[in-house]
Amino acid sequence: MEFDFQTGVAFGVLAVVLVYLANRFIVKPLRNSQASSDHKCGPGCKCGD
Amino acid sequence: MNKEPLSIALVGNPNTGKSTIFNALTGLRQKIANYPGITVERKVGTTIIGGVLHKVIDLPGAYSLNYKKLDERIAYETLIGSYEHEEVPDLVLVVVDSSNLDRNLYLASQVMDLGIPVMLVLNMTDVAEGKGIKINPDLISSSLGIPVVAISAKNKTEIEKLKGEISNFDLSKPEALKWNPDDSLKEAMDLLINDWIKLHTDIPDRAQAIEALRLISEGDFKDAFYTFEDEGKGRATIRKAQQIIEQGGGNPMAAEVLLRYNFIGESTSEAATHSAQSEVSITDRIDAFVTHKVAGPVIFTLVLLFMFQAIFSWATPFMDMIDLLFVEGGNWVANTLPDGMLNDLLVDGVIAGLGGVVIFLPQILFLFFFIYILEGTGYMARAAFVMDGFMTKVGLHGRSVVPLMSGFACAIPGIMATRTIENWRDRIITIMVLPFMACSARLPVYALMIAAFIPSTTVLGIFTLQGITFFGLYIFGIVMAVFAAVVMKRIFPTGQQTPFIMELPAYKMPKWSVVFQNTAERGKVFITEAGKIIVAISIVLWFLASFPKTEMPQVVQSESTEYDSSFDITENPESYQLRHSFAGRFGKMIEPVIEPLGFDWKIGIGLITSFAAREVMVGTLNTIYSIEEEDGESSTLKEKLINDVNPETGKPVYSIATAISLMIFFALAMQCMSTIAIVKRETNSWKWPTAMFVYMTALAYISSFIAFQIGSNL
Ligand SMILES: Nc1nc2c(ncn2[C@@H]2O[C@H](COP(=O)(O)OP(=O)(O)OP(=O)(O)O)[C@@H](O)[C@H]2O)c(=O)[nH]1
Ligand SMILES: [Mg+2]
Repeated sequence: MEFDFQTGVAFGVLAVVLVYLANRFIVKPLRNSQASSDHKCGPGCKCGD
Repeated sequence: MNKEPLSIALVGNPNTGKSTIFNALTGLRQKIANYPGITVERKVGTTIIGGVLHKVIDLPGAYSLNYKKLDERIAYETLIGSYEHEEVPDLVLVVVDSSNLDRNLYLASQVMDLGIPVMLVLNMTDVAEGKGIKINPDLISSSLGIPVVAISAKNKTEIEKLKGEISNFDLSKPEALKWNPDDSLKEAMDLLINDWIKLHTDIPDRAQAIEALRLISEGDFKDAFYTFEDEGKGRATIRKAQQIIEQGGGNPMAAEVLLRYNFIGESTSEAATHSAQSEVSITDRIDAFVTHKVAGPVIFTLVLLFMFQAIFSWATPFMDMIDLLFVEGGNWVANTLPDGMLNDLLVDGVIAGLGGVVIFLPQILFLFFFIYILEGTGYMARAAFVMDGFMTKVGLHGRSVVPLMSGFACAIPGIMATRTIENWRDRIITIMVLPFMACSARLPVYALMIAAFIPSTTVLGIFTLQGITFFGLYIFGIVMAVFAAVVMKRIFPTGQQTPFIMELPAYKMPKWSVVFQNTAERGKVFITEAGKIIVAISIVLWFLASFPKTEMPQVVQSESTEYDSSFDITENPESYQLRHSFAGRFGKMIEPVIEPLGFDWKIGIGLITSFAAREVMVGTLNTIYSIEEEDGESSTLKEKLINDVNPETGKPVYSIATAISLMIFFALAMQCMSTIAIVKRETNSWKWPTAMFVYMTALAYISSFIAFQIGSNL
């Protein structure tokens, strides 16, 4: 496989996309799940159970 | 003139038009619909009045400050100033439905006791007029002692009038306890305030009376709203306060209610007049049919059936157009760009992936268009009412119905809407079954399978087998949700039921601008949100399906030795390459697991990518099939699926049994990361989302297995 201009761009795109996906599906959800619910918990429940 | 920036809170009973006013003031687009319990979160926006930027807060509706449910509690906490360290609003607009004045003023009279400036907004004056109710705002204003504006939030100039009143208001505080609690009630309140609230809570002085009244009528804490050590003492104090009222001849649960209603009755007796004729309203006449024991469910079923049939047939011409656009666009790019890797990536990865999904945009738009009409007219509330009868029969809570119905659009708002359920266990059960409701992300998968494998035979003149199957999948979702809830209820009994009373709002003409805007908004979200993920995944997939590069061995190409030669091997080099790519090898590896469900490795890859979002399945299939296709050919995904042949057996990959098994899998499996995340957030634990993922996916696997085995042996 020779390495021409198109191949270069294609792999560049792949790199950008991988970063996007990692951010969307790994970094962000992890950060969001750290932040707790905007309310402590449902009525009648014990928090954190 | 108010020159200082204010924070203005919108408070009121459910379905009185708070969010409509909020949207008109801020230019934002909070969800509005003609049934109670739409807003379940606090939303903040800004508005400019007379050159000053004010903050506006939209709150969930509440019937009273004696909150019972999470959504009501948010309103309460905001007003007493204990909501997540947010400041107390400087001004409260109590929004009331003018056609139902007395009941609405109950909350207003409570808010007036909080020591915050209050303005009364008599909304829906147009509806009141239609009912023959005449209201004199000035009289109400003088008897309550707060400013009153009468508006119809649908009317722009009246919103300007509201802005004017806000800017002219001197922010004087209303007189607290104007409704005159009697001596024993006063004594009971003082006792609670001095012996408990002041010592053990940080509720500010101005809100202590309201908190005392809440505790007296509740008789208990019910939930750990604030932290305290001496719970036993608190209970004893509440009990003592209740006894004071009982000794005075009153009923602790009702004392406040009676006195407030007396006060309200006096304030409005002169100010609001009904014109004499009390004929049966149009709403009542329609409801006699629509909520009828027998006719109701029949009408509900017919409405859904028509809706799904229409979605299926009306969208077709538009879908064909989009399809053509993408095929032609792909060809154009393929021919214009010089040959190379980027060319292939664009055509087979990006364009094929996106095109596979965008084609379903018309159906999505029609789906939401119908949903918004049902919500805007108020029919959704009747549908919930009809379902409620059925739900309570199987032992479920009626309050679950509205959240379940919102699951038709997407599980996430539905899960948020469970905040309107008081009982924590009922709430959890509703959350756990909600993802069975057929959300719009499943639509592309259902539609593709139906279009390809279900014949379009006409049934009963106006319906087609395809439309009915489509409708059947939605019903299947409802039935599974109810069934799962019944089972869970057996396992975790939720104790006694609090009766559920749902207010049926008067029918209204939907606000068309809102319907169209919201529908367009949904289309935009579908394209941008799902689109981004689909393009990204298609690109990655294209790489995985294109590497490593393998040459097809000559011997296989010319004369079949590896395969059974009883049929003609037509495998092309592209297909051979695909099967030996990373994606192909991985797919082959997992194939044994999904083979019993009737799925081949390509579907397997689609199942995996669809965990990012269900729609991605369709984009993935289109990408894989486009890579496999010989250059120059171009057919629609539907045709590719129908024509796909398993090179090892020579049989078509898809049969009706496969299609049904796949639809059942998508109906039942938990394939949505965003739902998992929201369940984690709402329940504050990983326990529930994990359980949800496991039981739903297991159920999907088993059901698809059974369906395929039965289907393929018929
Ligand atoms: N005719 C008429 N309809 C109105 C008016 N204001 C609001 N509506 C309609 O009333 C319904 C309820 O409006 P919302 O703004 O969602 O009410 P809400 O108070 O935010 O409701 P919750 O969030 O459930 O508490 C919608 O169908 C609105 O279009 C009005 O002044 N006149
Ligand atoms: Mg609202």
